[in-house]
Amino acid sequence: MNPWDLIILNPILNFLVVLYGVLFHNFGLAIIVLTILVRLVTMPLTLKQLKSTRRMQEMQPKLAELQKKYAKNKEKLAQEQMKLYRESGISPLGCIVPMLIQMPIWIALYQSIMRAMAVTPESLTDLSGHLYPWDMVNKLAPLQSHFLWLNLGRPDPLLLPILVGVSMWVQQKMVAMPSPDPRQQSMSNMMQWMMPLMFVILSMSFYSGLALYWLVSNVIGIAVQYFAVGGWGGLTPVVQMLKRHPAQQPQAAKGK
Amino acid sequence: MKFKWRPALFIVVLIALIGLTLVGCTGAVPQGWSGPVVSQDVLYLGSMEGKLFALDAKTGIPAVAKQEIAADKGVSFGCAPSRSGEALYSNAAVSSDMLYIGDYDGNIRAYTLSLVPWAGGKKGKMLKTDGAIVGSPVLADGYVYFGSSDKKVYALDAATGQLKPGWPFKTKGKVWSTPVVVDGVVYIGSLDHHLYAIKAETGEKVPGFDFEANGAIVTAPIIQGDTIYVGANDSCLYALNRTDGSVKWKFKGNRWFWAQPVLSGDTIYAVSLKGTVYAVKDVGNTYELLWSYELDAGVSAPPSLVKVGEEEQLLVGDHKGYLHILSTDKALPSNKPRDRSIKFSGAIYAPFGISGDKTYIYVYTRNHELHALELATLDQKWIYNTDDETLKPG
Repeated sequence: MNPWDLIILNPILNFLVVLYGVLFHNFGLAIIVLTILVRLVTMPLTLKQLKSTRRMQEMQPKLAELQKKYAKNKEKLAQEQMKLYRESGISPLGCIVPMLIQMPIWIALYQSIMRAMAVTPESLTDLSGHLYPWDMVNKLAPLQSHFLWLNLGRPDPLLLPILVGVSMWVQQKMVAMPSPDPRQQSMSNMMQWMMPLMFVILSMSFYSGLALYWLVSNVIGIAVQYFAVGGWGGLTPVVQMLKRHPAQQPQAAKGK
Repeated sequence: MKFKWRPALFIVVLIALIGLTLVGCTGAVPQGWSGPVVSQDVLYLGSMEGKLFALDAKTGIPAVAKQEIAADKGVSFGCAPSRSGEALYSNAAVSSDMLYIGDYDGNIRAYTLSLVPWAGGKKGKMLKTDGAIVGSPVLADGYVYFGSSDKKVYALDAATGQLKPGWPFKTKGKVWSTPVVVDGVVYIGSLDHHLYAIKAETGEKVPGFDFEANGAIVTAPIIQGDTIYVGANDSCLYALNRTDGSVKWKFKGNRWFWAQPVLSGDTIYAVSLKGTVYAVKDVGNTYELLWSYELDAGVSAPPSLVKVGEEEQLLVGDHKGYLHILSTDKALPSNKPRDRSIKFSGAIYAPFGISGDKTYIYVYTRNHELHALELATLDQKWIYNTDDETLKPG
């Protein structure tokens, strides 16, 4: 057995199957609870990543100034940028490293959901090789895949993909801060639309069990961003607009 | 520094998305493992590409033109297969004038032995069930019996396609097992852990018969005398009383028993999904493990027993593409190896086919090749590629 399966994938997969047994043979609930638990375990890393990202964003005006100042001297610009990072106590890798550490866990979680669903006969035979020789997990396979209106082993054509896309857009918008650099701002804007759109398409094509995992993950991301980092972030103007809008309507009605 | 990180992040995201697409579809597309069936010197095979072939069993030359079972759906994305009904898991059930096969779209189809679709339905469709058909249909007394992933067991009139009165029989789980019909009783396992005994005449449960394993039942049972032998996904091989389903004895293996075991006298040869072969002797109310042998890869295809000369040998195909020829000798001399093996370039998931005169064995591998071997010498006689439909000498 390869080390990836032995150390990372199989423990998560078996835990997911045990959760399914505990949670009334409801695979949807098992996916939700496991995603929440994994997010809780990786919370310190997530917070570190969010804080680093925020500090990097706060430095953007200073970096923009340096770029203006040393526009014609790239070498000097790089030196000054590094100096600024040093003085501020920020590592440019600060937001990437926690993300990279979490990546294997996310990939394993994703794979374990895929494998546990065992949609085809081939994948059910494959699942047997990943289950521990415990009666309590073996008797549960294959798992029942119905949850709410979803068959978790089939793609959902509309509602779930839309929820995934909207939640991802909200999360991205919250994290994003305006950048003084037009190129960076334009790339950031593009990503804010590209990623949710991509995931809408993926959710329409992949099993809804995976789309459910993406949705739960996004919702947790939004909650973490709101409570741990503070407020709606880049989404604040939208939230303010939504708050103002219903308040203005009664006044307008009175005016009439 | 700033300009370098953003494109890098963009690339990381793109790679992650491509990775998601690839990993997300791993094992998601059903490929099928229908095996060859030989009747009157013609070999019938439902291929991995969704084609139905009838080949001359001796030469491999197509006896009649093939039939396309799969319907092309055009371009697809993500995990969705590009063709419907492509996967064929069930072996064909062949009568004197017709053959019947189930597909992953839930259709049971009928063809003449010249592969002309049954006239009573579109493209030979006799019945569309609400779930995939994985087990094979079985013919008995003019009826076709089969299970479906819609949790039901069906009995159809083989000539008209009409449901037999009282059928289908409902279970609580998908039915991937192949039924066995003995003395007017249909025995079939379900993923709901039960082995059911159903009266063929009425479609009712046999009163007093009850058996529940601690895992799903995918294998077809074997019936001999008053005993039923069946493997389950709780890694146990059971011997049951045929009258009431009570357990005579159970043997615990090292992983699920997915493949149907084979029986020779009072010895059952069963292979676990991990690839361990067990020879278990039924000694009344208990068992005796005669020998066990570990292979290097998993096994999901049922083994076959053949006689070469006077010696009985067990053929086992594994997921690494090895065909193992195992001696069944209990008291094997220490200098004589139990296993001889032949390596194919594709994994073996499909059941073997054996010619009527027991001179040929047919192995359909995962790389779309059907191999015909002479049983006595294991020489390859011919290879037929079902994908590009070419025949070459072995």
